[in-house]
Amino acid sequence: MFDTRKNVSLFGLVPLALSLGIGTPPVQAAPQNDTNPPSLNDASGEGALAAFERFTQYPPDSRPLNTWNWDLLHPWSTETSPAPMIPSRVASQAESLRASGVPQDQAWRAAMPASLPQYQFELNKAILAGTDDELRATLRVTAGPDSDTPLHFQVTKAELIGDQVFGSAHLGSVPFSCDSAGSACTFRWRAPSTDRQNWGVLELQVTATVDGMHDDFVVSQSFYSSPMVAGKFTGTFRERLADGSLVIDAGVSVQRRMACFLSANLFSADKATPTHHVERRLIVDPSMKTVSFTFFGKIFRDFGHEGTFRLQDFKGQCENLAYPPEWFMDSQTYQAQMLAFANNPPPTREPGRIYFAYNQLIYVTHRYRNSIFSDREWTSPERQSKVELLKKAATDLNSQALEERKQQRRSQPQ
Amino acid sequence: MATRMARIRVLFSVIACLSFAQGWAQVPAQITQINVLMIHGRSDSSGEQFGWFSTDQHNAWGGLKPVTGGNVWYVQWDAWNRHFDDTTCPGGECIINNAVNALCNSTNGQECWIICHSAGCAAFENYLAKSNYASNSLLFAHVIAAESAAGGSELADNGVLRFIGGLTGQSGAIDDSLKTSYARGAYNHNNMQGVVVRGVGGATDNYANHALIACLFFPRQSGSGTNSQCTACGTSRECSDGVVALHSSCGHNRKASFQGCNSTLAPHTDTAGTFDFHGWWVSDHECNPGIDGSVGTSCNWSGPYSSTGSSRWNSGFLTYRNNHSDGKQTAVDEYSSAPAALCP
Repeated sequence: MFDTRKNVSLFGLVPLALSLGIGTPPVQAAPQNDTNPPSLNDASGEGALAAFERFTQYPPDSRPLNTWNWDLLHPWSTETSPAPMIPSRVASQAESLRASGVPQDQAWRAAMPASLPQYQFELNKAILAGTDDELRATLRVTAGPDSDTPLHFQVTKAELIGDQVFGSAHLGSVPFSCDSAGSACTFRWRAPSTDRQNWGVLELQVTATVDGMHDDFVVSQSFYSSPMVAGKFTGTFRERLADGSLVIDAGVSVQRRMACFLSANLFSADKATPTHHVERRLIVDPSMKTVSFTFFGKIFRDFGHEGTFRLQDFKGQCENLAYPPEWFMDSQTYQAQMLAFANNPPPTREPGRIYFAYNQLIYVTHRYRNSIFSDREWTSPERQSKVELLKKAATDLNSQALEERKQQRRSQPQ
Repeated sequence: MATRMARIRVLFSVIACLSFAQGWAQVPAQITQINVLMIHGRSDSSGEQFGWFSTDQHNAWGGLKPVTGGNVWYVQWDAWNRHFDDTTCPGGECIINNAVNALCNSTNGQECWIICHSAGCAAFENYLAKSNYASNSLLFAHVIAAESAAGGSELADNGVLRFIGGLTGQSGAIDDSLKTSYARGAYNHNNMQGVVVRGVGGATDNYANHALIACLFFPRQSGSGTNSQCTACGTSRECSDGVVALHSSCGHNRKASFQGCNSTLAPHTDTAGTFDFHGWWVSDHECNPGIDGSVGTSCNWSGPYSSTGSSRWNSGFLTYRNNHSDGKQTAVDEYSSAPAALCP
C-alpha cells in the first residue's frame, strides 16, 4: 500500500485553489512506492482509485458471477423470514394504553401476549412480470420462534390489497388450497388483466385462526406486480466472438420505448457453475429486434471457464419515467431539463417499474476453448479519464495543507 | 506580483474553458471543491424543503455536521411520502440525481464524499446502480453508509415501522419501498460502479423494546461464536440496530441472520454473502483481522478515528454498538476525526 502521507510537499496550490475557487494547473504526482499495490480496503484516494480500476477491469455491463452471488442467481426472488402472528387486538390495545399516558414500550409489553405463534410465507418469486406469471405463496405456522412444531390453522379470508398510489384498493379474494393436515396453505394469484390497479406493491393479506387460540390473526406478504410489460425476450439467439469476448444476440419484442436494464446469467454447462452476469443499461424501442449481451473475454480467462455455456435468467426491468428516457440515461446532459422538471412534477404518481414478461428461456452455446478468449482489460476513453481524475484527486488528498485546514476547522466551533 | 497572478488566473481560466469545450474525457479537471453530501433516512417530511442545503433545514441529522475542509450539503428528499427510488421529485432518486449533478461534477472541479443514513443509503445506492457513473464526469470518493436500509427492514415487512422512533401509529408511503423484497429488488446492489460503500452496521440491544422487536421480527441464529452485543433471544442472538438487521446495514446479499459485517473489498473476499464493493467502516485496513480471518500486511491508517466510533466499535464482528439513530453520530464523528486524506 502507498504511504500517502509522504507526498506532502508538492501540493501547496491546493489550498490556494480551494480559496480562490478556480482551476489550478495539473500537479505532477510524486513518484510513489508501488511495491505494495493499493488495496480496495482503504478509504483514501488511492483506495478509491484502486476500487475503480478493479471494477473497470471488466466492463460495467459484463461482470463475473460466482456461487455466492445469491441475489444475482435468484433475480426474481427475495428470501422470506418468519414473523410473529400478532392478534388484531394487540395494536389497538397498545395504542389505547399509550393514549392514556402509558409509555410506548410499556404499552406494547402490556398488550403483547407472552408467546406468539410464527408464520412464514414461502414464495416462488417476489416479482411478477406479465399476466401469465403466477405467484405461489405457501403459508406455514409454527408454535414460536424457537419451535419447528407446525400448528394447524384455518384460513377465513385471503385477499389482495393494491398499491398505495392507487388507494390500497381491495383487489378481490385470492384462491388457495390447504394440505390435508391443515398445516400449510398455498395461495395462487396472477394478474387478471393489465389494469393499473394490479400494478405496484401488492399485499397478500390472509386472515386465519389457529387451533387452540381464540384470536383472529391477519398476516401478510408483499410482492411487486407488473401486469403490463415493456416487452419480452423472444427465444431466438445468435452467438459470435468479437474482440475476444463472446457475444450473444437475444431476440426481443419491445412494446414501449423505455430506459431499461436487461440482464441474464451465463453458466458453464459442463461444470454447472456461474460465470457471467450481464446487465445492459439502454433505451429499448419497438424497432429493436435483438439486444446484444457481451460476455467479457477476460472473465473467461481469469476464472478458467471453457466448454459450452448456458444462458438463462433473462430479465428486463424498466423505469416508468415521467420524462424522456434520454434524460435518465444521461442526466448530466439534460441537467437543466431535469431541474425544471423537478419544479413541475406530474400531478399523479405511478409505480416505478415495468418489466419484460417473465420467461424461462435457456440457450446453450457452442463449445469454446479458454484460450480463444482475450485476457485484455476493458478500456474506454471514459474509463481512462475517470482513472486520471481519481489519480489527481488522490494526489490532492495527500496534501498536508488539507490536513491542516481540517484540523483548523476541528478547532472551530461548529 | 499582482499582474503575474492575474495572468495566471486568465491562463487557468482559458485552460478550464478549453477543458470544458473539449469534453471531460480528454482533459480531466483539477479537484478544487470538496463536497460532503448528507443524505437522510426515513423521516416525517412535514415542513421540509427539498433539494440541497448548507444547513440541516429539516433537522433530520439532529444538528450533526461533519468537520471538513470543504462544504457540507444536506440533501433533503421526501423520505416519508415517496419511495427511495422515485424518479419524480421530491422522490429519492430524483433529488439525489439533481444534487450530485450540481455538486459532484469534476468538470466543475467538484468531488463528493457521501454520508447517508438508513433509507438515504437505499436512495443513494439505487441512484448509483442505475446511473452511468463509470462513464460520466461525476466523482464520488466513497460512501459511509450508516445503518443502511438498502436491504430493507422486517419492520416494514410487518407493518410495524410506524411504531418505531416516536412516530407511533403513523406510516408513510416510503414504508412500502423499505420492505425487504422491494428494497432488494429495486436495483442491482452489486453495481456500485467502483464506488466503495462502507457500512456502519449497528448491532446492539440498546434500544427500547429490544427484546420484543429483536426477538420477534429479525432473523436470529444460535450456536457458538455469536455476537454478544446482539440481543439474546433464548438461546439465539439477533443482530440489528432496532430498525434494520445486519443483512441490510452490512450490505449482505440475502435476507438472513448475520452476526457481523464482512467485506468484498480486497484483500477481503467474502464468499458468505456480501454485495460487491461493500465493506465496513472503516476498512482500517489490512492490519485488523477480518471476520473471515484474513490479515493484511500494512497499516497506513488505523480507525475507528473518533471517540464515538472507538467506544462503539466491535472489532470481532466489525459492527458498532449503535441503535438506529446512533449511527448518524458515529458516521459524522468518524468523518470528522478521520485524516483529511480519507475524509477531507
